[in-house]
Amino acid sequence: MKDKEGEPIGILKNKSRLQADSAAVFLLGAVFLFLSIGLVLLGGSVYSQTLSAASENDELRTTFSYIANQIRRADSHGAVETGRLDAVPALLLNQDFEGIACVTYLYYWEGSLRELFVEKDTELGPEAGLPLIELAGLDFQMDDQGLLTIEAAFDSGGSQRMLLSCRSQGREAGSS
Amino acid sequence: MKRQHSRSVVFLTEVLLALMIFAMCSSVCAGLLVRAYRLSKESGSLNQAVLVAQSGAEAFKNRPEAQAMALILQGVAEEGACRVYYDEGWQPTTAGGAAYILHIVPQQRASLRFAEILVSDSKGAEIFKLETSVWTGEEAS
Repeated sequence: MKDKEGEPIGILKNKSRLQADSAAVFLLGAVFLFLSIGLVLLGGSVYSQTLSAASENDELRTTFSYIANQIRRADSHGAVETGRLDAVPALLLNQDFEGIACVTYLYYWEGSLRELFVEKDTELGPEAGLPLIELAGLDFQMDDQGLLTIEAAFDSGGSQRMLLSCRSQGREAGSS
Repeated sequence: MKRQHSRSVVFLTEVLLALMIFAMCSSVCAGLLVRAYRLSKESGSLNQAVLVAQSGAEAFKNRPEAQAMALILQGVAEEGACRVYYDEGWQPTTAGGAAYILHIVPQQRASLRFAEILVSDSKGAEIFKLETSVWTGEEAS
């Protein structure tokens, strides 16, 4: 039997079946493609967020841990004080090595926490310090009972505060 | 024609099966990714909680009275204990907007002043806990 256009009816049915099969294959392929892309994007996003969080944690922990350890190492009567290195606010850790008075300055200068270890009254500026950790800001405040407040701002945009009680009761520079 | 049709059906079934296997594997992967994200968040919270608890311990050692600690830590003194509320960014805030809580409970035993320091989330689940003590030289009254 033939249809109006002269095509055998059996061949028409076959063509439409082929088209349906092809459409189904393309549809399944499209679903597979979108699922794959979604999974890759999700994985990439989670990876970058995890990396960023790990970096922030590391920055925070390293900064405060380093400063705290330096203070604990130098903590003796009058050894810990806040002051300035030129015009830059700094934490001063005074030590005595066989009669030679030395001081370790911890301060923020040009984007990083810096440390400068020199003999007392040496005329060196903040640019002479060794950069340790990249930060956005750092501040030291000490009250009259030896409680030191360390406030650090990080490149990620946050800021955190840590308190440290000097066992020897530190002092402000210049006070008795 | 019947053979061609049966071939298509077999092919489609294969593709469908492959897609199902892919869906199962990708759901496992997605679950792992979600878990990784959650662990990363927990790790960040623990890190911050340790820092906050450490600061609390130092404040206690310097001034072991609840009122004085509350002043230093920007918290409140309640029933002899000090409570500090923190927001999602671990900045001191009020009780209403708190995501995390630092709770310091001082106790006196002979000449030693103890403190139990607990950091928890807003639902009360413990994140970090530590104990510290300071010798005051005062006997308990």
